Amino acid sequence: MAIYKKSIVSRIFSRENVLGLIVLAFFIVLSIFTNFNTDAGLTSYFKEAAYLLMASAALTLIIITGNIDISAGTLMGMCGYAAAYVAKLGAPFYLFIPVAILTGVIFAGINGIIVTKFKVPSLVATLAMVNVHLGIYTLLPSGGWVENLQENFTDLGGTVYFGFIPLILIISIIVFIGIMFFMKYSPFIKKVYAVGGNKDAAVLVGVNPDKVVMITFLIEGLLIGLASIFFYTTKHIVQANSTFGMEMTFITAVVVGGTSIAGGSGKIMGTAFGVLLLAMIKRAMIFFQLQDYYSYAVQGIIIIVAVLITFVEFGGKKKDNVSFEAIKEDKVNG
Amino acid sequence: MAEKTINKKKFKFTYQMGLFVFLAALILFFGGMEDWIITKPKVLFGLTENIMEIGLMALPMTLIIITSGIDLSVGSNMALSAVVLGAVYGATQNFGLALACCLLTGILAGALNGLLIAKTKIAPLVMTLATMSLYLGIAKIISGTRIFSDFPDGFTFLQTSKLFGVVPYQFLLFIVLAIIFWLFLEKSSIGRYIRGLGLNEDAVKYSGVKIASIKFSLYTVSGFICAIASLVYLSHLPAAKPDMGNNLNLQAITAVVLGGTSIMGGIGNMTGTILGVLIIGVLRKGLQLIGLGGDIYSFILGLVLVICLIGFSVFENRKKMEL
Repeated sequence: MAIYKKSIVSRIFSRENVLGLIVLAFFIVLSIFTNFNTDAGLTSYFKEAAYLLMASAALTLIIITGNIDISAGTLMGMCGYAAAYVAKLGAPFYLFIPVAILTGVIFAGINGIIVTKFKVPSLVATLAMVNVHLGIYTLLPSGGWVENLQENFTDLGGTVYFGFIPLILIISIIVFIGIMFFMKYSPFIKKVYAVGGNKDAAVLVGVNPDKVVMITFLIEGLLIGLASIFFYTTKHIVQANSTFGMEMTFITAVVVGGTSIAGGSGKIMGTAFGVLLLAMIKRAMIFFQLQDYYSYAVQGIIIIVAVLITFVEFGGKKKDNVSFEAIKEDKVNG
Repeated sequence: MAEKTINKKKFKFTYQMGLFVFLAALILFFGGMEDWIITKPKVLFGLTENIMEIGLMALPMTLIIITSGIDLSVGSNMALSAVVLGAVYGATQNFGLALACCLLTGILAGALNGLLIAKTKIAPLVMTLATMSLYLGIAKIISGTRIFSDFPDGFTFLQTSKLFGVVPYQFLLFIVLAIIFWLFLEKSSIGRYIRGLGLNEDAVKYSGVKIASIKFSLYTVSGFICAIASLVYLSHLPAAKPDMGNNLNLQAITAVVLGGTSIMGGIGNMTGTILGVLIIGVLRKGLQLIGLGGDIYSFILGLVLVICLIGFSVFENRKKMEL
């Protein structure tokens, strides 16, 4: 990436900046024409953004390594159920949050083991795990539902400062800043990009791709666990299968943020703006009193537009990669 | 190259023999549990009902996955076609027109996928993820809160009437289409190119094959089959609603992958997919028969898929070492 010197214009109109501008424009329009800019509107928006931020950051890491996790949605339900089950027994937040995180790490670890040890492509491995998770829900007591959750659980999601800043958003942003520092300064993250960009080259410079992918999956589990806390503590009922299909929203946020699904490129900041945009569009639908079902069509159009922009942006570069791979393949085959 | 292909065929045979034994064992197991239903062919073929729409969608999906693509939008496409059928029939009471609109919708939706994927080289996973939402959204916009359950008499013949009173027509349809797809993949030159696309796209491109038109046609055919699958679905559950296709894409992919088609492309065949579809069908119906219906099925299906994937990858790695 660094070899390609970017002109000032393209630096100004980088994807993050453009997305940021779109989010700002949306915000202004919504504030003028609707009651978005009220405490209630902002609170629900921020609550939405809090869990999306964590889950999408997790998916960003996974996708940068060239893998994908289709089971992220159902995994989130699993974590939420575990936390709610413990909370129902009276556990305070410093107990049920670790429980959620531990559940996430264990199940994401299983994904990681299947992908790294048994060399099953992540798409199908996690696809299978979706079915396994859905099946586990039915084996759970009361079908994966926990009802009548008390203050010890819902306080975390219900706490709002200054009338419009939820506590969970603050925690989410702090964790996110942590991830940003990690992405910028950790030597590990270089390996993540290396594995996603060119696995063979990564092996040649002494990176163990299996180890890197495994650790990435564990980090993902941790973040999904946190996301489940942020998602479910705003509710009084935890229904484990309510997050089924949500991984598509996470992946949308990642793709809109400019991360290539092929791996090796992507910025965490882009994902953050993708999350802000998606959550805002979702609120906008509600404020303009469009039925929920329009959001699916809009989400689809957003992804198409986003990837088309990426295609135009990186069209030339991708070609180089392809021909390089062709040469490599020829050498291997010949 | 010729030797390689022979080796591969040998290997695939082994894995699929395993699948076949597994299928036979499943039928024997469930048959033994419930009064030896295996001796009653009507019941035996009944094992395949409720699974045929997945089976139909798995056929073009096999070709697409062999080209190292994927089509996540099949479930939404099927729902959209069904909703269009219901809406047009509800408005005009003209079944011919409704049928034409339904098939056209499927083809157009598939063609949009094909156009976007063939012309832009964007990962099919992302593109069909987008169109999955898009088609689901359009279906929801068309139907609103309505459920279309008004269909002409005799519409359910695919499900209810049976050849010789034994074989349901939907199963026949599946087998006929499966044979057509098998012939296409194994015996036609385009079938060779499809394999080649999955193994080395550039090599195929430089040998002068029009990659874009092949990809475009594959996704369009997939859309057409989705429309047909919607007819099959409606024939046993005549209620067209937008969320009827949810999760069907995953099940279709499961069937394909279970059959030994590599998600990385290049490897796989139709026989495996047919076995995969039948295994899923027997598993689902059999579990229902012994009173373990519902979501425990998805748990067992998931486990079976994980075990098969691990087994397949172990086989494949061993084969690579031998080469």
